[in-house]
Amino acid sequence: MIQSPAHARLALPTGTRSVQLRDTARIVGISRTLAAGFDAWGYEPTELPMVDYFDVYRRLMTDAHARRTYRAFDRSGDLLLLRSDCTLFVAKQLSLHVKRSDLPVRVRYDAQIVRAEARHDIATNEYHQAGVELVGGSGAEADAEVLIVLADALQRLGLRNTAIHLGSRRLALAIATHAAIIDTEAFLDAVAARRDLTAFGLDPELTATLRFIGHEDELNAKLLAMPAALHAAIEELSHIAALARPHSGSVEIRVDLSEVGGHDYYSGAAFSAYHPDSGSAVARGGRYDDLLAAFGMDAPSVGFSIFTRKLPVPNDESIAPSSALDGAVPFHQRVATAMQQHTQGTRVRLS
Amino acid sequence: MNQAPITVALPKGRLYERSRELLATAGYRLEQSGRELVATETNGEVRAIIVKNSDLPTYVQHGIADLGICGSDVIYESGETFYELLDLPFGQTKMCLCGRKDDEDPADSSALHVATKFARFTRDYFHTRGVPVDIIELGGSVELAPVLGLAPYIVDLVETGGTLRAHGLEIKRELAHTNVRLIANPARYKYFYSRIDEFVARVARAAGED
Repeated sequence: MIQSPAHARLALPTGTRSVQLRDTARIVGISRTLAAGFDAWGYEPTELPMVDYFDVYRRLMTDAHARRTYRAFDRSGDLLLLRSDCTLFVAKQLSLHVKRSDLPVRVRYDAQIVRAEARHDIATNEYHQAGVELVGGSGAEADAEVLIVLADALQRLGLRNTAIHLGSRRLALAIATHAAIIDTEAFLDAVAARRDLTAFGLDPELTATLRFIGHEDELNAKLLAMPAALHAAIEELSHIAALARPHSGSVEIRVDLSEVGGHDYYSGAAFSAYHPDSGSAVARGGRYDDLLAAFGMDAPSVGFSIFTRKLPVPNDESIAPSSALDGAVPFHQRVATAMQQHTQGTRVRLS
Repeated sequence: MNQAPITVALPKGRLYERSRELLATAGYRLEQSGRELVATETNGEVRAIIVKNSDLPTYVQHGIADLGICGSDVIYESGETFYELLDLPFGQTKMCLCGRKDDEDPADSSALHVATKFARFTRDYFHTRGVPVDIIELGGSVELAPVLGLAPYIVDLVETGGTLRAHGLEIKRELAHTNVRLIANPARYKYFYSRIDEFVARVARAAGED
C-alpha cells in the first residue's frame, strides 16, 4: 500500500510496467529474432517519433481509438499525441521522406506505443510492437508477401502452432453497401464481434457468410449463391490465401470473414494471428491503400504488427550469464583479457 | 490425438446447478469432488472451473477459460468484449429502478441519486437518456440503501420482488431485461473454432434452441 510521498515516488503510474531483467532479456531476444527475420526479407529499419501533432492523426482514428490516446500540450499550446499506433506514425514519416520513384519501400520497426485502457491492471496499456510495412505494394502478391513474412517470423520464434485468420474489410464494406447499411462503423464492429447482423437488415444467409471460418475452397463453393457485387472481393481474398498458404510452413492460414481490421484506415485484406497459449491475438495487420494519401502521398500499402509482450515465448534458458574475471588481477590486465576473449565471442565482465 | 479439453467457466450460486444440468443434457457430465473448484468430464472433452459470478468475465477475458456461462448484466459491467454464442433458457430477470413505496416516481428532469452494484449499466442507461445520475456503488444488499437513507433509489436485478417487499420497496421502472449467455474469449474461439462450434451446437440442442 502507498503510505507516504516517498512510497509514491517509487510507485509506477497506473498502466505502466517496470521490466524485470529476465523479461527484458526475453523481449530483446524476441526483437533480435524478428529483426533478423524481417531483414532477411529485405525490410529496412525505421525509427518513429515518440510524439507528433494530434490533429494530423485525429481524422484517421475512430472515436474509440482517439479516446484511448495520451495527449499533451507543447510550449506553443499545440496538442501532441503520444505514439499510439505504429502504422499511423510510419505512414506520416514515409510520406515526408520517400519519393514516388522509390516505391515500393519495405520498412520494419520495433517500438513501444501507449494507450489508455478503461480498466487496467499494471502493464496493460503499454504495448511493444514489432512489424513491417510494404509501402507502395499493391495487389494480392503484396498481401501474400506480408502474410508469409509474418508466418516466417512466428516460426522463427518457435510459435509453430499459430493460426493466421485472414479476412477482408473490402468484402464487409461491399456487403454493407449491398444491404444499404448506413452506419458502417457499427456494422463492422458487429461483424468483428460475430454478432447477429439481421438487426442491420442483412438476410440470414449473408449473416452466416460473415461468420465463415475455413478454407477458401469452401468459400468459393458458395460464391454463385452470393450477390454479384461481392464476387470480386471474395475472389481477391481467396487468391491471397491461396498464394500465401503453400509458404506458411506450420502456421495455418484460415479464411475468416469476421476479420475486418481494428482501424478505420484498413481498406482490404485484414488479418490476426492466434496462438493456443495466448488469450488474445499475437499479431494484427492488413491493407491500407488510402492512409498515405491522407499525408499527401498516394501509395497502396500493407503491413502488420506483432505484439511482442503478448507472445507466449519462454525465457531463453540457453543464454548463460557472462563470466567474471578475478577482481584481484590488475585492471589493465583484466581489460586486455576481456577484450581478447570478446574477439573469440566469449561474454566476460571485468569483475 | 489427445486434445486439451475446452475450459468452461461456470458461475457459483444460483446459476451453477442450472448450467451443470444443461451441460449434462448436452452430454457433458461434469464430476466434481468435494469443494474442488474444477470439475472434469468423463470423456475429457470439457473441463469446468467454478468461479464467483462477477469474476467470471475476467477468467474468460484472460483466456483462462475458453468459454463462460454468465448473466448479461455481469458481462455488461465487465466492460469487455466477448463473443456471445448463445442465449440460454434460464436465469432471465429484470434490471429495475426501485424505491420506497411511499416515495414518488423519480422525474427524468432532475438528478437521480442511486445506490447499485451495477454502476456501469446505471451510468450508461441514464446518461444516454440525458438524466444526470449520482451513483453510490455497493457490493451487495443494496435494498438497505433506501431504508437507511443512503440513497432514495436503487438499481438492481429483480426476480420475484420478495426482497423488495420485505424492505418496503417497489419497482418504480423496469430498465432492461437480462438473460444468461454462453460467451467466448475471442482469441480462444478463433483458434479452437471448430471444437467450440461443435460444443455450442450440442448445448444449443440441449437448450431446445436448435
